[in-house]
Amino acid sequence: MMKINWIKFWLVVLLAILFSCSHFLIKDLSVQLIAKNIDEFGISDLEIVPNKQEPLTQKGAVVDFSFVPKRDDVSGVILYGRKHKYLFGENLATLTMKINYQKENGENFYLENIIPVSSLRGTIFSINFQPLLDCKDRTVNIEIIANQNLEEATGLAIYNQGIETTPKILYEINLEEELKISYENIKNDRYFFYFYFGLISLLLLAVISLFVIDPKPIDV
Amino acid sequence: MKKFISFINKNRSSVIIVIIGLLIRLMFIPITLYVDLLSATFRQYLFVQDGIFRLSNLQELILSGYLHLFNDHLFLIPQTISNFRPQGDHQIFTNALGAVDIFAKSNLSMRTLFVLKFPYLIFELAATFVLLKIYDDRLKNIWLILLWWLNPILIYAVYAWGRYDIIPLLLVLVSIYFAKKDKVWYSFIFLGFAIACRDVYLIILPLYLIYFYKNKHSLISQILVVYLPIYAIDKLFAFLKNFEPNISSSLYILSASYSNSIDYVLYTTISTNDSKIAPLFFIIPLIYLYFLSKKKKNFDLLVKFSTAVFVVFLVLSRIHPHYMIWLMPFLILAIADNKKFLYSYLVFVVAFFCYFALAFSIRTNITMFLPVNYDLFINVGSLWEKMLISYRSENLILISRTLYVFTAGVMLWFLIFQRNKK
Repeated sequence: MMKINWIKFWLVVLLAILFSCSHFLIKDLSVQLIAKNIDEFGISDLEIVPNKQEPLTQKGAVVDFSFVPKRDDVSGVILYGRKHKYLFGENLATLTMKINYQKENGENFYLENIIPVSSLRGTIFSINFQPLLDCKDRTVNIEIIANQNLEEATGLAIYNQGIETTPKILYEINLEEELKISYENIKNDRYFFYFYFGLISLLLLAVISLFVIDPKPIDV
Repeated sequence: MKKFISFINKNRSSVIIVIIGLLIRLMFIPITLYVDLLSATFRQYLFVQDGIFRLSNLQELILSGYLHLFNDHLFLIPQTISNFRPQGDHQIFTNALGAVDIFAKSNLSMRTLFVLKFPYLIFELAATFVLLKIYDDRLKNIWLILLWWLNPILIYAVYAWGRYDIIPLLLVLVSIYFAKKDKVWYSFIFLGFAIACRDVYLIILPLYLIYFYKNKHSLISQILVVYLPIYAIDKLFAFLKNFEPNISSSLYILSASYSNSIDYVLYTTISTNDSKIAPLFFIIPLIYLYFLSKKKKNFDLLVKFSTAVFVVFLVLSRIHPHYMIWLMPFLILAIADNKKFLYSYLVFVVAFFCYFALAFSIRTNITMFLPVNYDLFINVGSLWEKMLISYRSENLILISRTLYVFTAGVMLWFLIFQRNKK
């Protein structure tokens, strides 16, 4: 006769409940990932076009560039200090960031953010903003303007002078959404989907049974 | 049925480990794609379908038989190849980078990957069977099962990268099994086959020759026996190449019965202003000499020294991450025999993944998942890459490489100089 080890059984139930709860954990979980050029595959080309690059020392100086994202939800840019110096200025000094692009339906999108200079200490400047909707394959223009004279400001590097100075684009990735897409992709091949998940379920059932059911004592 | 239940009852923990290992492997099989799997499959398809022999090694020849059986079910392979052939572009048989995109976008990619990687599971089951025959100790066998089936490097190399190195691994295990049973000739023949698959196994031949040394005549015969399978496969490859119909295309891939991995050995050097020294060339002979100087040579010592030679080779040469599985049969046996290696092995594994994720395969690792979510993995880097923006990647590479070499050094110390406490 089979004998179920109830402690192990409830442990498995607990693990199953925890696993189900993990769905709620990732429900609104998002991560920011860098947009990539995979040159060796030759299958993605995200190019930054520099329009203007002025040292941000004078009020009204501009750093301006544009790019065509390959995904929606662009949520930040990483720029590099050109001279590897800090952006010095008064504690209250600010920059203005303007983002604009035309959506597919013809609507113009415009966003303006005030960025405190104190948040850009270092040679790498990561600037985040609200995720841009419907920006895939549209030309997005980003302008950064000095609002006052700064003591010693670096020009942000936007020219393609090698990996270190090439600006990078950040995408906001919603984990639940991406998991759903992956699941749909597997489901596209219906017969394989049934076979694959059937096999996985069978093995899972086997391992749980072996874990939960105690071996029959060997007769001496 | 009764026998089956009693077998399961007796080996319950081993069966649970194997099933968990299978589940992990099955998770990787359909969702990861590496370019080498495609190019190797294209070459096999070329041989099976058109009789054009451009296979690179014995593993591809063995897998061609499998492809022949399932050829009718692999719709995606001819579909992908047909995109290149009309233009006379035969590069994909050498390097399938251009075909990755077409393959990964297809709805059939996961099913095809499953069919292509499935034989590795059969080879692994065969390897496990051989592994369990080596020692009679039940506890050791449970350790062997655990270290084999939950081995992250093995899973990564065979199922994520989709490499066929599991075949030479099986051959080497058979050779080790015969070495343990003192069946000298069988042991050398299977080592010869393993060398025919991967010439890197040549580095343990001197240890085998020292271990089995009786007299000069036997030494020469043993060398000849090892050379026999290599020679036979070389001749077979030459024959198959000459036997093919006329090729009007620009196919230029050279077939060889063995790979050129030895080219990588000059990677790590100690340099002065005037010269460079490759440490590999004196450390490995020193290990041979130390093994030769041992008065009592037993099987465990052979395993330990073989592990040591591979550790030195893999740490001091330029390798691709999946090459690390060459070490596994020896390392697993060494750990099962002496648990002291386990801790340094675990640190070694962590350092290995950190170093290779940073230095070599950061992009490969992310594009590997294209079949499961093309739009995501083609456009974004990993979380790891984002972290590297804030910390200098050169420093992190240096730190992880140092840790990797240091733990390898610690393992080497245990392997060569520490005695087992029975």
